[in-house]
Amino acid sequence: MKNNDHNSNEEPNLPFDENGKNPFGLPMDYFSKFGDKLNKRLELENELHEFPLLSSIEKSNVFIAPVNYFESIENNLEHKTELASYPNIQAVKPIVFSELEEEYKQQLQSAVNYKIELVEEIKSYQTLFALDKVNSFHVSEGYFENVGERIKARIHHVTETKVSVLNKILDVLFGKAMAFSFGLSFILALAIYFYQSPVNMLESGDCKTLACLERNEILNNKAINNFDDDQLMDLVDVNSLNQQLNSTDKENDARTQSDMDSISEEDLLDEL
Amino acid sequence: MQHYSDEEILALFRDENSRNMALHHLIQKYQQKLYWHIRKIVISHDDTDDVLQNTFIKIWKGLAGFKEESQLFTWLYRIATNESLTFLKQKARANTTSIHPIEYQLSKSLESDTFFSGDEIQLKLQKAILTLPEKQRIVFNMRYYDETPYEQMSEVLETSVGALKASYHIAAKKVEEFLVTN
Repeated sequence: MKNNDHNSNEEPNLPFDENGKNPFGLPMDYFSKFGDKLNKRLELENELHEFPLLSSIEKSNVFIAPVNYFESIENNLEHKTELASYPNIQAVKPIVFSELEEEYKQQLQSAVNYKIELVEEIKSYQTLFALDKVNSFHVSEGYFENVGERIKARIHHVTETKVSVLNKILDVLFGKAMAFSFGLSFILALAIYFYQSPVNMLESGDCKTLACLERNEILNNKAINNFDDDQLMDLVDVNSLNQQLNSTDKENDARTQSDMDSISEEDLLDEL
Repeated sequence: MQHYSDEEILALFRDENSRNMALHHLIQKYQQKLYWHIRKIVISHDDTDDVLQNTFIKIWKGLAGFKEESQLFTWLYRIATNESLTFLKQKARANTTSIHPIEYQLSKSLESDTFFSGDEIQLKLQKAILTLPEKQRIVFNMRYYDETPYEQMSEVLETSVGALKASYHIAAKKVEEFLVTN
């Protein structure tokens, strides 16, 4: 066995087989191309030398391919070649199946169950069941594009009308005209009150007419102070006064008669 | 178009500044659903248009008082249903010249309706549905066409689930009989 130890000045000890041949093979033209390869590498390194930060970053592939991509690539190519003669099928966008969310799965399950329930419900009515569920009613063209705006306009109109009626009422209530008329009414009311307030009811005595009042009582009353004779006469109830006076006369006559009856002849003579 | 959720619409409505936006999204989200619900009750497109507008006005007026005890859409459907039934009653009252019930008149108007494109069998089916009493008709339409769950229908129509199931089966039976015999 040959010694593997060597110094830098010597040629490297290459392993040789029993026949004196080197058992390691080399790619074709390895040594002739090695110079070019090295030059390119040095050129790249020199380029990056100007950018120390960039050259300090380790060159690595951060991208990864989907699992089994490279295994399936052959199949995909084969599939595409097959479809090449069918342009219509090629135009259809392939469905991308992705993992479904658990919530969606549950919703789907309940939706399917509900559809089954609906079908089961109507199944016993054969004619009805055989019919297509179609909406035979339709609307005028562009109806749904415009109806929203019309509804909004109507709602605003209703709201504005409501507001304007309220405003009108408030304007009338608190407007200048109302304030003026209220002030005028207040002044008139005050005037009437002060004009009428001095009138006090007079205690008119038994006969319920002024005839039964004492003269001083009548004259002391402010309301009567300014009355003229005609006004005073108007206040007198003539009929009741006559009745009163007549009854008073009769009473006096009766009283006089009874007094006369009670006087004896002797008393009368004594008096004479 | 991506619609706002009911909660988002209500949140927009609560803010005075975004009320108009709430109205816009409410109409955008529900105009078609409510239209078709009303249309199946009142049949004519023009009548549906009137009822739809009145429905939205009522909704808008009452939205401030909506207590969120039920879902917004059930409340909207309830208003739409009541508006439609009220409209039919008014129409029946106004039309004193005809001796026929309102359902017969609706059935007749269907034949000349320019906004009805159904074939003979679809026309017959609609006529069969129009022979049903009002409540049964609504239940049948909501279940058969809209595929509304009974629980939701119960909230809209304020009727028990059991009663609705019974009502639907009676209605389906009547429709089937009509289709077979006519």
